Amino acid sequence: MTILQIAILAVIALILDRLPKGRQLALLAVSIFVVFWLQPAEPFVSLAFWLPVATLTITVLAWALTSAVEVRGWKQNWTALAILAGVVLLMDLNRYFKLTQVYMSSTPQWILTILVVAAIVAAALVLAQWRRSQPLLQVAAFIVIILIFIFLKTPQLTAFVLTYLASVRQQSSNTVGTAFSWLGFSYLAFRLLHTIRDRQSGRLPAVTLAEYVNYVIFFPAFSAGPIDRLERFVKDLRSPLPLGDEDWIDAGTRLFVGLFKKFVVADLLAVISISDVLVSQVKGAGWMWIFLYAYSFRIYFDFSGYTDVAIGLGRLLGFRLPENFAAPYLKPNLTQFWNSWHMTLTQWFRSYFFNPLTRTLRSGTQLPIWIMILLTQISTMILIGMWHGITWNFVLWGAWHGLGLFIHNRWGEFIRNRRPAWTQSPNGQMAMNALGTLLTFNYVALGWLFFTLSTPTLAWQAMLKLFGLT
Amino acid sequence: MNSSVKPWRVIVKAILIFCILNFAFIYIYPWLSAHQVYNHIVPGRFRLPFSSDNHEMLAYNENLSDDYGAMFASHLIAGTPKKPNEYRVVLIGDSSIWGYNLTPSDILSEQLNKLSLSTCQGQQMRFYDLAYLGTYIPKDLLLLQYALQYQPNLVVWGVTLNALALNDTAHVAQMEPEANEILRLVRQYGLKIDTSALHAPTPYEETAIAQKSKIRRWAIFQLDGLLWGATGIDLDVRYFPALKNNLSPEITFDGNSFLNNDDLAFDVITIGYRIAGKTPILLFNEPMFVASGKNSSIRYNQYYPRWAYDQYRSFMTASMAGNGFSYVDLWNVIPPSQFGETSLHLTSAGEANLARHLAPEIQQMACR
Repeated sequence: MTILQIAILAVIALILDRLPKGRQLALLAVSIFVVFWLQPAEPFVSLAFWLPVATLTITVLAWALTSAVEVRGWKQNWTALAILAGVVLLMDLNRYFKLTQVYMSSTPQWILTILVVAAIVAAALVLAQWRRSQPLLQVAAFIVIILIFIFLKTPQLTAFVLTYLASVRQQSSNTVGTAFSWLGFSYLAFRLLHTIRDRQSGRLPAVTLAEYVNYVIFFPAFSAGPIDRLERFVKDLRSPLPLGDEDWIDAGTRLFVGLFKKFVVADLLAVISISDVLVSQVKGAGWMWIFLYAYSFRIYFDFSGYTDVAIGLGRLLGFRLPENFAAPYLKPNLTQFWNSWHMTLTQWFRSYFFNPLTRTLRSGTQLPIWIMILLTQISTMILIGMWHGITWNFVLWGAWHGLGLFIHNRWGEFIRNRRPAWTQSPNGQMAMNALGTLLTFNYVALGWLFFTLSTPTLAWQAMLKLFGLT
Repeated sequence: MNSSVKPWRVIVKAILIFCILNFAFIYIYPWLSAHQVYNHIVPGRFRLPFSSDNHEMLAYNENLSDDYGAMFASHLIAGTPKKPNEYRVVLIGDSSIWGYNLTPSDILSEQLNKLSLSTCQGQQMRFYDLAYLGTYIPKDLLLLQYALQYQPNLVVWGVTLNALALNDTAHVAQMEPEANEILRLVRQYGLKIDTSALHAPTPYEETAIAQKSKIRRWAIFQLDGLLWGATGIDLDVRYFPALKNNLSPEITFDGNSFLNNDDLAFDVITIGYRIAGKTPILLFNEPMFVASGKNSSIRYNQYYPRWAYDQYRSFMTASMAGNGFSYVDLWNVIPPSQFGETSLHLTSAGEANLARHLAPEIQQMACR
């Protein structure tokens, strides 16, 4: 998002918050519009239309599969369906409006658009009217979302498909790149999977189509999180928090701080952040550390800046979105770091992967406890790594953190009854915390090498250079 | 938070503070531009910073051509006090002297430094590259003015036909970012150029909000300084194929088929000597690629038809002799194989060769 886009969204948020009636549906319309508006250009022009349509389609179908029977009625949902179809068709009509600053004007053939929209509405209606339980379909939807995710996050697969599509369309493969830019799909997938799993376990609240779509594509958090939970989100949606003077200032401050973090601090740090080119050019380990730290702070300020913007925009709309960061680089150990870095993501993995896996291992196997910890920590962190992309780099990044968490866990156990007396004093505690913070920050910073450099070999070379070994 | 906080008060205060800071920037920026990471945290640069929109030229550098003060503050010379035994020589001119597509260690000033020259009195010669890209000679006067702040013993000034001849409105417009400085020269020295394309910035145009691009570039330039310090790279040096020996049959020069003495900006050179005062100047005609293929009987290279360049050389020699200026014509001293991607840009070997040709002339000047 650009500063201008954020400013426009802030004004829209203020207007929406003051609507006496129809706030929820207006928010829905704006969020749908934003899905199209923020969608980046695609190698094939029409994808910039079809990917947002796909986002909405998946969301509507997921609602139809997960919603409770009592909220599936036509009367409760026809307005939301009409808004969905209306906004999609309106975006398609930009072929006539030619508002190219807002959205592309070369939208697909209108007949095709109408047919697709009609098919989505029909499918949603059929699924919604299906009164029987749909466990198999829910499992299928869960798998399909994961498969799409795997496809989008695997560069070899996307490159193959894009090259194939280019050849079909007699277009040069050099012009299509190697990846799809499906705006917000990573977060979309997590929200959908959360609702499907909670539906399966009977924990999902009954929500209408408007509420569900609002949750999934809520515009402040759509592209960069945080990942809210449906039951919490719906509370704010149904009874928005009042926006008093203090809240107003609070929201404005959060927005301003977020913009400053992202567009000033992070963008400037980007200039000196470690990169493939710098690894080969830099002379001296000292500089390498500076550029590695620059990247470490850049990624923090970039991401937490976007989170601040999302929380600020949410606050203007009467929502209290969950926090995603809590001074992570000041934490004295890796466990606390992961409890304060991208918190909503780690909570998601804890709820839907780590805890179930731990329960399964404890109840179904006789493995020693330390092996269970190793397995659960490493596999969870590798999955978190692969959420960013299915490459060896992200696998190694995940494994680096999984191993770090395991070591910290074991060290904690080992040291529990062996702590020297001086570490128990306030000063000793402070010194240990400071040392822990220093170690944790540097461990995390070194991990970023796998995250940001293009190959594991390069990351290894950078690591050697950092320690003066090349 | 205090419940008495009123949003409108916060907004009014914020606007007020913003307005004050916005206009205070006019007075703050000169201080800011003079205080940089260069020469403090990292070494100064070997040449003035340059970057173009052309992606291949983006390498730990930023375009600050609208702020000569900031450009010079980042240069090595700004952080190098003149030693008692130093004979300081500054080089000014265009991209050929600046060292386009060369690494810092290959540029002309460094090639001259490698020769470890000294004066007849035993003073150690130290050369500094203060040239800047652009074939518009009034820019060289600005360079000269700034260069004089660093107490040079000698100024070596490279010129070529393009710099002296291409002074039409379009080329003057290129100097818009430095309009203030150029207009100052016009006022101070009666420089005869058409300034209709230039306009001095209004006070508003000097405020922070109007200069946000400059602030951004200044900030990035400081960070580039760290990259410069870490890598010693200030330019993305690229490979270019050898120059073509075959030329177009175009016979005109800048649309003209004849050249008058008045078409060349000799007055700018004269003003340069006035600006330099007692500091001697050695002017030299830059070497150029001399083609030998198709149409080389009518053109020397991609830039110059033979007739125009021959006339220029003859006018130049006469004008310099008439004014008693020290001048050396090095137009054909470099073999074609030592030119880079254009007919005026030298390779590292070419710069070294040029340094060897310039060295005796410089020593002769220094020993006068």
